[in-house]
Amino acid sequence: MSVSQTTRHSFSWVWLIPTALIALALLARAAPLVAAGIGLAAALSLSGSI
Amino acid sequence: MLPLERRRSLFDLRVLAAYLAGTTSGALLTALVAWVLSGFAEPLGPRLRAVLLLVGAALIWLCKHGPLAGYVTLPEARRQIPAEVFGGSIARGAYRFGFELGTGVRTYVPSAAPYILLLTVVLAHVTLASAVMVGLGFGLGRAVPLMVQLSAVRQLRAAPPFLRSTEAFASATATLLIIAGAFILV
Repeated sequence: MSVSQTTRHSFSWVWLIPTALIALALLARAAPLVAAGIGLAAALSLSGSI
Repeated sequence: MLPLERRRSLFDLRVLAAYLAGTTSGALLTALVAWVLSGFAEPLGPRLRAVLLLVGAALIWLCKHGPLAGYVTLPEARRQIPAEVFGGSIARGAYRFGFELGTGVRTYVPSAAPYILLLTVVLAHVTLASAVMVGLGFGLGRAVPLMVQLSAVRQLRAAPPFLRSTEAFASATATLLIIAGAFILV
């Protein structure tokens, strides 16, 4: 497996972070955590455009 | 920014730290400007702001990925960040490159999600703390690809793909997450 493949596969897991963050924030009713989660999600959608 | 296959050094970590500092400070700048502009939306009631947010998000999606894509062009800097930002030291260049990426307004924006995020900060009437967290989250997210690149060489036993990170999938997932989050914040 090449490094680029490894990077792409590892990166797909990263989507769990904003999802979990927003879910946790919902449970905790913490607006700043929701805010961080949506910021993270928006940035991750640009991941291919460095 | 980092060579692909070799052992990572402290210098690589310094470059990553400078890049992360750049992306977060750039994103914080944009988030704070949007937060200041959100004052203009304050006279609108929460229900109207929610409706505007939903309609705006739908329009943005249609303009970026839907049938309006060929007709309406959303504002974006149609250029790559110039290589001149790396003049001087690599760490300083990484900071400047990260800063420009972090602002979200200095290069191409291939996804609808950042536009909807900006609309959320302007219309959701978020607190200053939340605006700062949006900036930190966006800056961190912009630095993630470099972090993954740094760690990927160490972790060649890659996890199987849990989710496919295609462009359409990434944009759709991010948009849905942002809309869900926006309605919590509004």
